[in-house]
Amino acid sequence: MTRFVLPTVLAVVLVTAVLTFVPAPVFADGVALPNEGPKTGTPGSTVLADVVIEPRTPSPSPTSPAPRISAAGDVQGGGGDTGSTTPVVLAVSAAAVALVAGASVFGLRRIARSQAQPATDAETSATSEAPPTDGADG
Amino acid sequence: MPVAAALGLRSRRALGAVVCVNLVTNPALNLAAIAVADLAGGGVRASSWWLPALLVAELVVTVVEWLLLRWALGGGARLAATVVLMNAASFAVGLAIWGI
Repeated sequence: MTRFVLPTVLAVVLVTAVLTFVPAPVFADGVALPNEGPKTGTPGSTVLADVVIEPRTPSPSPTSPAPRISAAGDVQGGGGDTGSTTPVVLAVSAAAVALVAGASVFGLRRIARSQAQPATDAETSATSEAPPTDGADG
Repeated sequence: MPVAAALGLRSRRALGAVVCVNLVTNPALNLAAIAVADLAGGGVRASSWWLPALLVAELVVTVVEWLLLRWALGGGARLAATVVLMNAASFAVGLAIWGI
């Protein structure tokens, strides 16, 4: 089993990296993180004395906070998660997924070879017993 | 993996194959779902086509996993049934987690 350790560790690390760095707008509510910080009034906002009312913009995430009314220059919220993933992040994630898949196929190939080896030995030896099964067929 | 073990895939070799197969299909499926959801924009989970699309993707994953496990372990109808049950359980858990 030691020959499966390295691919497995590599796969786990890469999967963890993917899940860590890929924004997941499709994950369960509450997981998506806001990616906008405090901001000032934007064009289209209404300034009334010392109060800025930010127009609510369509937000793809139900977890996005509603815009708040506060003192001018201290307007927060209204943005939240845009739900967008940059092409670079997608490309890096795809590469990581491909690496994981490659390592896993490598492991599967070793399993297949080790599975086939006893069968070959059994064919060449008249005294050998049937190869042990993995329970795949009962 | 618990489903696989419960259905008879108990040897280290068989469970290792199940882990490897899932590492081939699961990250790819999740990345594809994220990419599609990203391209489709917000509120995609509420779309009428989202659940059927997930079902089709899960069917593709099931076939791929069955082919890979058959290549690695050999096996016939029982292996196919095991793979179907494994993916059905996985799909149900996924739906619960995603809140669909």
